[in-house]
Amino acid sequence: MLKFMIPLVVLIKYSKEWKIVQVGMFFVSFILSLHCYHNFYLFSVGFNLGMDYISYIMIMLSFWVVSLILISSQKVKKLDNFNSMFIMVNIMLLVFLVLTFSSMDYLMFYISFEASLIPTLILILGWGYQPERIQAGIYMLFYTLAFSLPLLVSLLVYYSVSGSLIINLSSSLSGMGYVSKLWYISTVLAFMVKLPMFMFHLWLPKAHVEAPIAGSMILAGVLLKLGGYGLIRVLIMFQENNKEFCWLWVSVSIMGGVYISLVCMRQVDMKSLIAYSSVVHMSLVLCGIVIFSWWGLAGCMILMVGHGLCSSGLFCLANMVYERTGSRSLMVNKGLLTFMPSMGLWWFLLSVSNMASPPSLNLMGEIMLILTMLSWSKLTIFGISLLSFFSASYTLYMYSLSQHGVFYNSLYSCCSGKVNEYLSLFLHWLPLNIMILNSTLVMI
Amino acid sequence: MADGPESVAAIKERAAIKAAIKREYQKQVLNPYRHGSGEGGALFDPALQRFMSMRATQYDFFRPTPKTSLIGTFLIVVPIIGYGLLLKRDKDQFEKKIRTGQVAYADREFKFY
Repeated sequence: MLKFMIPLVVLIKYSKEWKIVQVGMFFVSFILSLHCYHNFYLFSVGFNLGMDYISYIMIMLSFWVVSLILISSQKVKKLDNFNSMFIMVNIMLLVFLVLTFSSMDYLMFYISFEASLIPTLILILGWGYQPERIQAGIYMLFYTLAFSLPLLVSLLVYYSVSGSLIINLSSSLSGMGYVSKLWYISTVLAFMVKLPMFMFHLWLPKAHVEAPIAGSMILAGVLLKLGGYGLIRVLIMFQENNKEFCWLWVSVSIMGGVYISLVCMRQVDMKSLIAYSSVVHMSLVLCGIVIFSWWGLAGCMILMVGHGLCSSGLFCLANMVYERTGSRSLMVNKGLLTFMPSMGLWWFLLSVSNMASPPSLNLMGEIMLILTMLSWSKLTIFGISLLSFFSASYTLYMYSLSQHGVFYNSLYSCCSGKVNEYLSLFLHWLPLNIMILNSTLVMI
Repeated sequence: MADGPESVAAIKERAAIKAAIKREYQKQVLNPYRHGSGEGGALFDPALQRFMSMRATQYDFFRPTPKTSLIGTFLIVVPIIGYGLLLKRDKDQFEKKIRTGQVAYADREFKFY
């Protein structure tokens, strides 16, 4: 794994020249993509870091999203807003994310999981736009920290019981009665807050709305998936306990998804709408993980990758509009097809992928997850049908309100669409809609 | 429509104020230097700003009252727990059916998922 970390550290040295870092990040992503060893159980092992196929997918996604961040954040360079520090923070975040996804040890995973919060906080506080970002940063930090301290305790107890914290080498904790339920809850809640599940989702709209485009893209693209990835790794230890509580998580996720999609249709702020739609997608992912069947895990991986690309692309689009009109409100940004028609193509492609239409990865993930939930219990069909329907309706609401109709009268002139913006959107859309043709590339 | 010379004067005065405001708006919106600089943006509308601030700070003004607590409990918590218990009951019945041997191995649904 060091062969991917060393180029990253070298890129920090070139943080003053944006072009070198931008091209270099894509180059490292390319080299990483050549390592697609689907037939191996574990590869690139060394120094307590190693890649499983799940880790490989997530690391690939992290590299890709950070490369796209560096393209989309051109305004930081243009305004000369601490641009070398910006690159350093992003690359540090990527280093921590790669460490998290490739760690073979639970404690190393925990340390890097927490460490990835700090560059995110610096991004939100340093390059965000409104004074509410302080509160948003505090919500994100304290929600995640408060629920992950019990995770640390549970990991240490686990170490003292079974003697090793290496993933897949550990035995299960189920033989301890009521206490194992306590450790199960404390372990699993940390990731449910990160995912986020319905009751603990309050940090997400705040953090997404107040973050700059880089913060939003990395949060929606990769950091939410840390919760999903962590859950997959941790539920191996707790399979017996999981079966007792599965009904609770499925119910909270499905009903929560329905409520949040209803809330989504009331939003006036574009980024807030996309943030709430992230919660809905992740609630489906959570159902798939806790059911823990084969299709559940495969569906959740596909939906995580698809959502990472799609939501990140939608945030890019919202940011492009915000850079031009100075407002995120849907009342100001309407009728965009009138003066940015080429951007309307990307709005359309990413919006229909968001509502899981063919041929996107989101469709495949949702089909697999719906089948998983039905195979688990047929009663889930009520929640799933409402969730799917409302998910399509709020995406349609966002697309047609922002694109169709007459544009807002008081707008001043702005440029239509720059090539680097089209490039970043194209690179979001291409894996999303092409990978369904060979979706075993993103399945476990 | 107009009932008396007094309200005619009032109508004319209101129309004059409205025309003045409209003229001011057109002057600001069609400012060629602002359009030419390519900076973008929109003319600042205080009513829009108040609305967006209201929506953004909605949670800060939330006060827990008996009405809101009841709404929260019965529309959110109770359906979630109720749905969960329904799912649990369904799974427990299914588990009992399997453990007492009422489902033949070849007749399992969802064999490959």
